[in-house]
Amino acid sequence: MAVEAKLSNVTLKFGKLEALKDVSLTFEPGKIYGLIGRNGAGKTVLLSLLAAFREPTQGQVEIDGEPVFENADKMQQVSFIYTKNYEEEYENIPLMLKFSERYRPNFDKDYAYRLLTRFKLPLDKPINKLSKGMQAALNVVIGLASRTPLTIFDEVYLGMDAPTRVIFYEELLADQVEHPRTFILSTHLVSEMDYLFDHVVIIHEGRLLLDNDYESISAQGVSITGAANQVDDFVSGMKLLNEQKLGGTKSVMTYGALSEEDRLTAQDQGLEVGPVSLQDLFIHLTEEAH
Amino acid sequence: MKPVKLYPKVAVDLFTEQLKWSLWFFSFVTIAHIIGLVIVSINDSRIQEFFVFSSYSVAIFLLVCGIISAYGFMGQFVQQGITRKDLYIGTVLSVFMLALAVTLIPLAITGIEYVISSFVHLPINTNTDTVFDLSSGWLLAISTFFLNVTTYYLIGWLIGIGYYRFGWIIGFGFIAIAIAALSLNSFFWVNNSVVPWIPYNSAGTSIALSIGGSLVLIALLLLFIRMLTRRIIIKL
Repeated sequence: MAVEAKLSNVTLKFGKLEALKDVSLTFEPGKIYGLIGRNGAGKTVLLSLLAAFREPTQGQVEIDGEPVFENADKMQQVSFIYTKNYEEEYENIPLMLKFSERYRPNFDKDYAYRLLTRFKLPLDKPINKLSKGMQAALNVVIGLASRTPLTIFDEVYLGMDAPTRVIFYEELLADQVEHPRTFILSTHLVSEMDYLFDHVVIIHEGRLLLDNDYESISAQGVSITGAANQVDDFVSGMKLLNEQKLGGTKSVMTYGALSEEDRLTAQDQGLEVGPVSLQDLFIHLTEEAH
Repeated sequence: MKPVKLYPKVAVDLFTEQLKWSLWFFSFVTIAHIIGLVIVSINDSRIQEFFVFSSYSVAIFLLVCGIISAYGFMGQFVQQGITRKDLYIGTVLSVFMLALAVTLIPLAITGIEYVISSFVHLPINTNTDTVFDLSSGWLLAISTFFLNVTTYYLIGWLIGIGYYRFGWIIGFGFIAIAIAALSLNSFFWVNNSVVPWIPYNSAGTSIALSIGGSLVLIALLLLFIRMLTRRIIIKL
């Protein structure tokens, strides 16, 4: 059970401000998407369109080819999990889960309770008394156990400590094998989460900057390190993301795949060719676009 | 697979939740009434029967429920994949069920009061001037009570939606609309002004006119709320 989510020429305006500008994007069924963007890039707003929390000013938002807004069948297939304010939530976790169980046809109660145990969440305490990290883990439990064909996690890890985040990533991957669905994970923690992604989408200032599968993205950037003048000669004509110089040595990040021929030339010249991490790519692509 | 209709589920859930609040509420009002009975028996005067005694506070209680429902339920249900339409229909059904429940509960308590008073003397005044007075006809008192609390819930819901959708400045405008609706409501019902600072004229003694006016007001409120929530943006 996984669905396709599609945005076609989506523009969203807040008064004069354009939060999303003509975004066209398809989330293919059964893949895990990383949605990356700087603060205020438009990530949450894009996700809230998919969850039918709001409508775009222009363009279409569709789930399996049907508009999602006020579509009872399609809205049931989407979970949008975000950091909620639980200050007024006096209920305990079992009561909260009952609500999801009632409205989510694929909700797996046993699985939910296994996750609660793994996250060591207390069942008797009111939710507003839980720590921020525990509340975040609860959101993750609801999101995973609902098993909706499109599951969106919008920076849900906020407040979780590193070991808890690792449990989240492990459980997500394990459940994706058993019950494949379309996941969208929006995040700032790029270096920590990149191994989860099948596909990466970067948005910047409301525009789509990059939409590619993870494999080809990791081949898209290379770092070239060596003697400064040699490096300069080698990269002339290439698109550069970043340069660093230390004494006579220079390291340059390039954008665009390196041909096999270029690779051999670099080796012959004694230049070191290394990968560029998604994190670096993200930082420099959005910096350059500024 | 034929999609399942979700609004009956929503209606049942909203009704059960708010019924729980109502039971708490009625236990407090009952205690207040008992205290009242004690005080008036000391002073050798009389208190209204429970049905009349609780009528104002029940109306205000439903107004508050209505306000809370906008903030409390909208985001929660849409996040679970419920459409605004299903939520709306479910809420409307739950309002009628709740209004009926909060009409029948005080009626039952009043019944108990009558039973007790046939054994012991209770300082209850059974002949007040309000339309809720059971002595002026059971059916009329009950339907009046029901229509009145339904109106109050819807007005509260409208205020809540106004604030939710437009923020607090325009939200004040909704308070104005609410006061207008409340005075219209009291205009229909003689001796039933809950907003005492608004002068009211009675529409006269015609019960049909009162009930008709009340039904029109309820219909208008329902229509207005649907228009405001049809495409409402859900807050994160």
